[in-house]
Amino acid sequence: MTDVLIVEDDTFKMERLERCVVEVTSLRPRQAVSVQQAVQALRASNFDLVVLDMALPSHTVQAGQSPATSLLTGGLEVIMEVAFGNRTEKIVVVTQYPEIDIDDTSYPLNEAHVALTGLFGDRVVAVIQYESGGTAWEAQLQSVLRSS
Amino acid sequence: MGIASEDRSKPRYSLASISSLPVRNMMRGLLSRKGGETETVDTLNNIRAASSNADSKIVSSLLLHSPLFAHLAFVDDFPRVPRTLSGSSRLASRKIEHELEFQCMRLTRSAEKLVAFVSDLHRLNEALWGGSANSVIAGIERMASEYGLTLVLLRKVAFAARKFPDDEILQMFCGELLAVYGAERRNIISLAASDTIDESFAFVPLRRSMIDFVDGGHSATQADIIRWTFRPIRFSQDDVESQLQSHGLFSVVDSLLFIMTHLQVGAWGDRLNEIIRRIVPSSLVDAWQRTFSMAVPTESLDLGAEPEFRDLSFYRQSIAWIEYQGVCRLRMAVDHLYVDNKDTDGIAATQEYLATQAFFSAADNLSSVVRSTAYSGMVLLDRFDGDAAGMFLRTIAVIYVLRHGHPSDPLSRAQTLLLVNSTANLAMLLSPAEIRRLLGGSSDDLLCRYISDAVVYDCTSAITDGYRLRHTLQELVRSEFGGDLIRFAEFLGQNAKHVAEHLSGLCTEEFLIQLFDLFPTTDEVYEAKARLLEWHSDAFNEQTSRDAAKRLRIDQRLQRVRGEIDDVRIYVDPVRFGIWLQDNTIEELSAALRVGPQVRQLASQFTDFSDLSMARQPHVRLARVLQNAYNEFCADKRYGVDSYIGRRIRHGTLKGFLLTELVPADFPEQLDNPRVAAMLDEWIKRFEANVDSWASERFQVKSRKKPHGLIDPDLTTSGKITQVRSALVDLVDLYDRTKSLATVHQAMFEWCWRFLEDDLKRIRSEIETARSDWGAMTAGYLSRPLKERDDGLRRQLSSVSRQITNEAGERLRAVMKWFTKPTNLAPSAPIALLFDAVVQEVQEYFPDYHPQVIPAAGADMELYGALYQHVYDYFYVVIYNAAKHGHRKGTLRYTLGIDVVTETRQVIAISVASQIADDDSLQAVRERIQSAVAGSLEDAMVVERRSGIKKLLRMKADMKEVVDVRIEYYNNMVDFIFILLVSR
Repeated sequence: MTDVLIVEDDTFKMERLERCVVEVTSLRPRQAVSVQQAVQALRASNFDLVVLDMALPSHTVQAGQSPATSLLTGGLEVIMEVAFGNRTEKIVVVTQYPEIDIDDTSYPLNEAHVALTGLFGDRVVAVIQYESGGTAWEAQLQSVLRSS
Repeated sequence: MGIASEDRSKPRYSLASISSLPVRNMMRGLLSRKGGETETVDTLNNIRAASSNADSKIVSSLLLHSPLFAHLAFVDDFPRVPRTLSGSSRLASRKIEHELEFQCMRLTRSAEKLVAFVSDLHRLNEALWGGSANSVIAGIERMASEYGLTLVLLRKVAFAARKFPDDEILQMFCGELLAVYGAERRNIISLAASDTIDESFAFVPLRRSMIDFVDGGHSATQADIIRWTFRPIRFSQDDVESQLQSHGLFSVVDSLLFIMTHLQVGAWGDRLNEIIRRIVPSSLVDAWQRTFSMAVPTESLDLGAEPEFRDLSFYRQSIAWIEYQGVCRLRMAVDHLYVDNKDTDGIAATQEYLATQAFFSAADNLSSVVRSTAYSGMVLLDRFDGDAAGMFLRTIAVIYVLRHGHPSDPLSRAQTLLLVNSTANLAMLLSPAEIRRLLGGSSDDLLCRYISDAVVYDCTSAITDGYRLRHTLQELVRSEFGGDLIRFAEFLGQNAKHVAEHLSGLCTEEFLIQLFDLFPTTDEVYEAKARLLEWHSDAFNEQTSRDAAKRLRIDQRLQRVRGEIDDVRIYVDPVRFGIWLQDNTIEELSAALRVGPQVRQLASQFTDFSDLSMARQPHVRLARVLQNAYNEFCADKRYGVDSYIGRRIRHGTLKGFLLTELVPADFPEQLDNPRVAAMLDEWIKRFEANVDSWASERFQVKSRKKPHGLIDPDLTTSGKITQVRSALVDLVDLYDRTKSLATVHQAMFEWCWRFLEDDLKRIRSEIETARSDWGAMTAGYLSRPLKERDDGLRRQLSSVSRQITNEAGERLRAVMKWFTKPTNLAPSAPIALLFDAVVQEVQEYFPDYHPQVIPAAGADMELYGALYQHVYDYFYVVIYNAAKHGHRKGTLRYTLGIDVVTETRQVIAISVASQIADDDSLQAVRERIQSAVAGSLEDAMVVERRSGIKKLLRMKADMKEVVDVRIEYYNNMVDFIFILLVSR
C-alpha cells in the first residue's frame, strides 16, 4: 500500500483520517475536498486506495466564486469514476451518516456495503461509520489499510 | 348480475327444469322476498359455483324472464341514474360461457330496443362529427332519455365537451351531465373518460396514474372499466369474464358494446362466437355490423393544428368511437405495443399479433418506419404508411419492428436523430435493453451513444445511468463541439428540435453541476445555465427563458455582493431554488394561472388534494405546484432545508456545539468524587441522548422514514392550510396584476419561508422547553449521592450545576437562533445592494473605474420580482455610461426618495448622478445624450451597440411601474432620475 487519496471536506475529519493513514503507511496521502477535485486527482494519478466521504461539495470553493452545491451522495460519483473507468483503486467509505441513499433507497451502513458491491463490484472494500468522539472507526480503517 | 323489469311473461323454463337438486333448492330460496342483499348475493354465488353448463343456462333464463324472480332486480338495463359501485352486487366469477350466455340473454330480451339504440347512436355520432352544438345536445338528451345514463353515453358527453369548448350552453349541459356521472364526486371512471379524450394531461403518465389508482385495491368493477378504457379489446378468458360482468353492471347497452366490439374483430373465437350467434337475434348483430363497419370520418374530428400529433389525438379520442370496426382493429393492433415499460400486461394474444402484423405490414425494418418526410396529418386507420404516419403511429411502428420485425443494420447518426425526433415516449414504452439495442448504446458514434444513454436514463433514473449519460455527453461536447454545450444545443436545434428540447430539459442545475469536465468551476455552471436559457428562448421563442437567464445572472452577482452565507442559520439557496422553479413549474403554473382571476374564489376554499378528480381543477393544480415547490424547498438535499440539516445537524455540528467542553474545566477537585462524577456522567449521557434524538428524529423533515420530524412539508395540515389559502389567492392576484411568472416564483419562495416559520416556531419552542427541562441541572443534583454533611462541597457543587445549566442554556439559546429565517437571503434585493452589484460589475469591464461613491442616506427598500430587474437595468445603463464616458475617479452619487401616495401605493425616485470627464463639458454631454435618444424609440430594444439610454427611456413606455425617466445636468454632473410607482 503506497498511494492513498482521501476525499473529505471537513478539515478536522481530514486531519484524523490523514493521521490514521500515515500511521499505517508512513506516507502522506493525497487530499481532495470536493467531488470535482477528487475526479481531477483520479484523472492525474493512480492510487491504491481511496478513503471516501459520501456527503461532499460539488466543487472546491474558491474566493469570489459562486458557492458549491452540497451533494449528499457525491461520493458515489467518485466511486463511479473508478468503476466505469476500469480503474484498480480500492475504496473505503468513511461517513458520519448512518445511511447512504442509492437510487432513492436509504441503506443503513451495514447494508450499504452490500448494495455498493452489487453495483460496483468488490472495489468498495468497506463502509465505515465515522464518529467524531469515537475511535472504533480508526481501528476499522487501519485494518483495511493493513490488509489492502 | 343484471335483472331487468320487463318482458318476464314467457319463461321457457321452470324450476323443475334444473337438474341439480341443490341448485334447484337454492333457486327456491331466492323466491323469498325476506332475504337481504348480502344473503341473496351469497346464494347467487353458490348457484354459480354449483351449476352445470345446462343448469347455468336455465338459471340465467329464469332470473331474466321469470316473474318469480322479478323482485331481485339490482340493475336497470337502461339506468336512469349512472350505476354506483357499492360492490355488494358483484358476483363471483364463473365460466366465461355462462357469463356470456347470461349477457346475451339480456341483449335478446331488449333486442328490439337495442336495434333502435344502434340507429340513434349513429345519429348522435353524425351530430358529433358535423352537427351543431344544439343537435349534439338534442342527441345526447334523446340517448339519455331512451337508453339511460350508460358508459357509452358518458364517452360521447366527454367528447362533446372537448369538441365545443366555447359553446357555453353545451359546456353547461355537459358539465351537469358529467357531474351526474360523478365527475365532482371524484369518480375515476368519469374522470378517465374525460381525461383520456381531453388533452390536458400527457397520455402515458395519465394512464399509469389511473391504473396505479385502481390497482390500489379499489373495486374490481372500477378496475375493469379503467383497464378496458386503455385496452378495449381483451383476450384473457378470466379477464373477459370479469369485464363482461363489469360492463353488464352498468347497463345492457354497455354489455352490448363489449360483446359486439369483440365480435366484429373476431376476438371471441369459434366456441364463444357460436353462443352469441345462437342467442342474440341476427337483426341486432346485423344492425350493429352494418352501422359500425363504416370508417370514422377523422377529418371531421378536431385533432389539433400540429400534423405530427394528430394521430395521437385520434388515438386518445378513439375510445369514444370504439363501436366502429376500424377503430377496434386499430386498437387491437396497437394497444399491446403501447404499454408502459413497467406494465407486464403487454403480451399479445394471437389475434392481436395477427392484427398487428396486418396493420404494420409496410413496416419491415427501421428504415421503412423512420422517414424524413413532412407530416401529412392523416390518421391511418387501416394500415401503417411510413410516409404518412404521425408521431404516435411511428412510435408504435418502431416498437413493432424492434420486437417483431426483421433485424437491420445499426442506424446511422442521421437515422438515430431522425428516429428520436419523430417518436415519443420511448423511455416509457421500452425496456433499457430495448433502448440500447434500438439506439446504438454501444455504438462508437458518440451522438448515437448520447441519445441512447439519455433515453435509458429517462427510463430508469438510476445513478449509474446518469453517470454514463454525463460521461458520454461531456465526451461528445468536448470532441465534436469544442467543449461548448450551447454549440451542441444549437446543432440539435438545427437538426432535431425535439432532441434539442430534451437537452434543454435535461440540463437542470443539478445535472450541470456534475459535468465536471465541461465546467470545472461553479461560475461556469451558472453561466452555462444562463446561456442555455438564452438559447432556449431564441430557439423556441420563449421569453420566460430569457427573463430567467437574466434573473440568474443578477442573482449570482447579488450573491457575491452579499458575501459569504451565514452557514449556521437555516438556509435555502434562493438561486438554486429559483432554477428549480424555472425548470419544474412553468408549464403547470401557467396552465393553472391562465384560467384567470376566477380561480381566486376557489383558491380561498382549498382544503386538500384528495384524489385524481380534484387534481384537474385549476386551484388544486396551483396548490399542487405550491406543494411540490414546498417539498423541494424542504427536502432537496442540495440546497433545501434538508441540505442544511444534513450539513449542520446530522453532520455532528449540533452535537459538537452543545456538548464540547460543556462541563467547566476549572472544577476538577469537586468532580473527583467518584459518586459525583457518576452523577455528572449520567446527566451528560441523558443530555447527549436527547441531542442525538433531536438530530436523528426531531430536527428532520417529516417523512415516512422520519415520522417525528418537526418540519412537515405537507401543506394541507391544519396548521398550514389557512396560510396556503392566502398564498394561493396572493399568487393568483400577483399573476393577474403582473402577468409575470418570475414574480410569482419569487412570491412562492417567500411563501415557502412563511410556511416553514410555523415549524421553526415548534422547533424553537421544543428547544426552549429543553432549556428548563433536560438542559438544566438542578442545584442539588450533583450532591445527591454525598453522604457526608460537607456544606462547602455542596455549595461548590451547586455552583458547578448552575454554571453547567447556564452554559447549556446559552448554547441552546444559540441553537434556537439557527432555526430562524436569515434576514438577508430573500430573492428580493435592497436597492442599495443592486447599486453595489452593478458598480462591481461595471468595474469588471473598466478596471480603472474607481468612483467616489456617495451612497444614499436614510431608508433603503426591498424590490421584488420584475421590479428589481428594471432597477438593475437602469443602474447598469447609467453606471456603465458613467464609467465609459465620465470621470473614472469622479463622484458617483446615489439617492433614494420614497413618497407614500395611497395606502397601497408609493412613488420611489432613484437618482444616480455621475461626474463628467475632466476634458468634457455639460453642454457636449447633453448634446451627445440627446443625439443618442433622438428618433423613434421603437427599435430601442432590438438594436445593439448603443448606449442603452434609449432603452432606458423606452422602459417608460413598456413597463407600467416606470412613471418617468428624467435626465438633469448641473455642476459637472449628469443625473439620471428613475421614478417608479410601486405597491407598498
